[in-house]
Amino acid sequence: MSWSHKIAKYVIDHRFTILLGTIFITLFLGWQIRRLEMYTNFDDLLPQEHPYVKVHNQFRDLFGGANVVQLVVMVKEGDIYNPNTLTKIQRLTNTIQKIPGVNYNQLFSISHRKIKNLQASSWGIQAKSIMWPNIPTTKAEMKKLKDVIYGDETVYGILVSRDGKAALISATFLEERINFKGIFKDINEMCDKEQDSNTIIYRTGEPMLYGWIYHYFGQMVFISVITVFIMLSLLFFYFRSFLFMLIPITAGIISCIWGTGFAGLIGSNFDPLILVIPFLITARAISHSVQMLERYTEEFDQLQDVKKASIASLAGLFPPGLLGVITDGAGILIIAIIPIPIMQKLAYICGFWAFSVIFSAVFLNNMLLSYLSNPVKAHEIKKTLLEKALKHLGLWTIGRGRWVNLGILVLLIGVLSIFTTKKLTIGDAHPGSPLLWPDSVYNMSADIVNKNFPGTDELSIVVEGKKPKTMYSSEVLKKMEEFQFYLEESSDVGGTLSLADVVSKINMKVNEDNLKWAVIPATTEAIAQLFWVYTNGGDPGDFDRYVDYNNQYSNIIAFFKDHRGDTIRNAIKRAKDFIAQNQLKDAKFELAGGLIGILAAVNEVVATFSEQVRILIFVTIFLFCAITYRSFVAGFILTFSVALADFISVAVMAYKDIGLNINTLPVASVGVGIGIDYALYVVSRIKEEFAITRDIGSAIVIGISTSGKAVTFTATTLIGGIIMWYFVSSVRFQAEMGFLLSLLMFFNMLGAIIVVPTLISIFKPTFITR
Amino acid sequence: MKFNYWALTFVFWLAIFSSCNRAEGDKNTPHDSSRDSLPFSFRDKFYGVSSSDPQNIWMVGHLGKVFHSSDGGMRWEHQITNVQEPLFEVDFVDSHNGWAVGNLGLILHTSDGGKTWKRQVFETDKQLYGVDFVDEDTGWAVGYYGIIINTIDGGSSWQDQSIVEDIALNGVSFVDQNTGWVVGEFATIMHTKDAGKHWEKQETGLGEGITLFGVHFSNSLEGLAVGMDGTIIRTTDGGVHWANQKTGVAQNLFSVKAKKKFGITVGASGTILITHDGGTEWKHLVSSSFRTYNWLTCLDIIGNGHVIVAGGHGTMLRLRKEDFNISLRSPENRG
Repeated sequence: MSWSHKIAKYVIDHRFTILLGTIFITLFLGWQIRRLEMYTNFDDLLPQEHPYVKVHNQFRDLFGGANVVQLVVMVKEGDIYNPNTLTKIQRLTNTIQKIPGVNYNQLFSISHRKIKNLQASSWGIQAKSIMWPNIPTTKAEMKKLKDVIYGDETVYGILVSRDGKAALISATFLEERINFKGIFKDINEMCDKEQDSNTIIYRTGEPMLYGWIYHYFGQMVFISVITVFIMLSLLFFYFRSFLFMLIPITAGIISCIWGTGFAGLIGSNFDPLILVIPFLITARAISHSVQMLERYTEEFDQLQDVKKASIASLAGLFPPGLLGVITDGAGILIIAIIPIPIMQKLAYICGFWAFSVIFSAVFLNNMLLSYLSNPVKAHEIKKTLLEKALKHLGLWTIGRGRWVNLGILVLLIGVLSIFTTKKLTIGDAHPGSPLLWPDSVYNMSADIVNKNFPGTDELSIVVEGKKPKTMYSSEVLKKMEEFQFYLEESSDVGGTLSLADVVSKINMKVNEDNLKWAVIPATTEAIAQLFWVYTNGGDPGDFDRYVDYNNQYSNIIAFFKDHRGDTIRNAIKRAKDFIAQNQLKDAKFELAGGLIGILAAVNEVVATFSEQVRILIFVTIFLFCAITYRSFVAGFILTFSVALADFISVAVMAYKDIGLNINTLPVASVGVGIGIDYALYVVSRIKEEFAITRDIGSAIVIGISTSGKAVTFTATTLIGGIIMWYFVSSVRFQAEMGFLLSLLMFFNMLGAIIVVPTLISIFKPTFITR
Repeated sequence: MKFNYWALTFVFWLAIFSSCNRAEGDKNTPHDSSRDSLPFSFRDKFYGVSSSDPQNIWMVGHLGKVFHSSDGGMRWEHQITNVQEPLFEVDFVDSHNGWAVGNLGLILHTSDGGKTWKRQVFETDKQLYGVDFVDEDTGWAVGYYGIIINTIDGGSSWQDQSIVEDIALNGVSFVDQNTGWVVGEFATIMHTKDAGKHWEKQETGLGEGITLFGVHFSNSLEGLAVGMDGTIIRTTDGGVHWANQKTGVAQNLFSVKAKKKFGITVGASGTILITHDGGTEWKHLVSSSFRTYNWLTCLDIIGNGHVIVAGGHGTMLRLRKEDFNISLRSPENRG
């Protein structure tokens, strides 16, 4: 009696105890689900040890973080210089201050008290709010406001569009436990109130983006439920049995309870965007279960005994099932090497979830089957068209065409390897957010903001002085200004802001408003005097956006039109080049804060670790397979099949401009191992059949027409459900992942029923024949 | 039926490759990152403009930038000066010889139309705000703390002609090798008849709080000066008498030029005033197609009567003689 048979017999003999234990664990973990919270922890999304993120964290409260909401009040007719529109801007500015989590020091609008204009008078220089506390009402006041705005380069083009038809309100939110859902709701409520026939308010920024994801979460769940119903229908169509339809779904549900319960048990949160991964694991549980059912019907046909058939099917499929589950779980755990907290949480939770499939699908399935008093008759599906087609396929893989197949496969994998490494974008591949469709409200708003203002995405370059008052240095300020010119030479940059702009402005104002004085003074004393003049006429906190209270730290803010991977890489490279060639005596430039800065960090980590993760997953698959079958050839054949499907899926990502980022990387990584289950079941069956027939060709044909049939059915069932995402989801990410996973499943299915049998047919490996 | 496995091989791979091609069909249009054809940035500030003929025009500004147009202001190219200091004024006497002055006593000269710029030396750290050459040898530059310097050898050497008062001098205009005027703070106008050896103050009738920024004389009698709070003063007798002109604007005016009876001045908040009677009546130049609020700091009437105006936020306007419709040449037009 083989070891797998012993285990199978033990499980079925002690089915009541094990079932009771499974129910107990399911109830326990089910109870833990109540602790699971659905929210996005912003810090979890960032590689906390990356130098850019450290700089971002150090200065985000001082100079603003990455969670900036930008509201654009735009008029259809005329311009914003009318009491009605200005009142709306004022009300919105006042209301947004009351939303919990807003950073008061990082709120900018022409109606905010901190946005000031310098006015020279007989008493000296006075810094007066340009539109606070009252808005202009008379024609003369309105003209004065226009003059003030158009004469101030920290306002003109930054807070008011150059055509005067739109005003920007920018609010930064504190990143500790940011409430995206609440912000989204509050912002939409206040904006909806202010919109009228001539006024549109566009809303963009990371909190709004995540708000949209939460908004669509219900739809994502609904689509998932519909997906399950489609799968159920296909299962019923295949098995023609309610019971056989329900068993795989039961396996999926129990797997889901164990996974989410474990997440609740360890106190982890659940990000809506990782919903795809648990769904993928649940789909695997269903996949294992279908294999078990298919094998069970075969065994029952021969043995005509429920319990014996359960033991036989479990014994037959336990080795490949166990190997598949362990390989899956190990593959997912490898993601933990990526030093991004959300990746590590995902690895631990989903790793446990994947390992739990051995109980929820492999054991539970057969235990439930062993209790059936009236087993399903599966004879009617034996001679289906699918079976006939698979038989021909089996004959094809052992025929003369196999060498051609092998040649094309090797060529294909080589070409795809070269292609994918060159074409795949690290980071986002689209302007706007790749999480939503280009015609989504969010992306269209972002487009409007980018067309009328410098840009939605900020890069913050910190200027770190060696001692207090470094920012009085003419050399430092001139270099900052030079840096700004340099950054703005790139077409990706819509504009920049820094303390140098403010100092130039003050210098101009105190010198008869003459533009020739809008320069950085040559001496430290002159700059210190300008600070003193301004401080006398202004309020504490007026410089908060630009410099700290000791005048030691400052920053340059560059506004970008998008945060595509290429844009970010180009921005960081250009900034690094400038810094390398422009060293300062008293200060240094530090990269990088703002959304562009932290995404640069994430992209660099993704670029570094994505290849490592894939290679480690391939190595894991190779080692587990080689050890299990005691054959390197087994490892090679199975890894080759999985790698081929992976290369094709990555190539499709590149072709469709799906960037490899923090959201797609785990799906692509977990997807690598998806096909190993399919291939393992087919290989094990071929091995079993060879032991009986002693003919490799016959073994392959039987393997393909039996296990291959279950593989084909499982894959098509899952694809049938998941491919729908691509056509109906409002969340582009879900749609594209549905497409990607469908491709992965399809090509892994082909790998299992064509590539692996072809390779076995050609090499006739000893791990099959011994 | 005999199954054709070669045909199956062909069909299989055909299906695989065609499915990959379908995926390619959905590829997005690449992001268009093309720039406006003008080389100016929103951050550019222009302080001086000078033309030698209807085609060749130079503009100077912040961070030592010089731009040159050889087609009357339609297209511009960046000329390399290798300086980072702001250049406040430029003057070309022909298509080869020009001078630009700027911060910390900076003087640049070109003798090849701006292909190369070389520093000329006069030991000072004061800002030079104005420069005017009457020929390729003789010129003056003025600036902070009453500095006036003169050259008679094309800038190879400069002599100090500074006034004693601590007055910032913003503009200079010479009509020949001897006769010229400078303007500056405290409503100051100084006049020389002997190539700058002696300067005498002229009475403007303005309050001392008024700073004059620009001056232009068409000949030895007719001149205009502009300054703070919309001030325009005019003389028809070489500055013996200056008359304050009503403009109706409160914005500072920074530069003025005149040719025969036509005159034009520019200033803060996009102010452009023109006169067709030598300076008695001034009107806002209003275009239905364009209005700028940017600071306008400098201008030049180019040979064919068109006008080039430039200023803050990389603004460069080309005003046509025929109807003074403005062809917008500003970064504001960028998509």
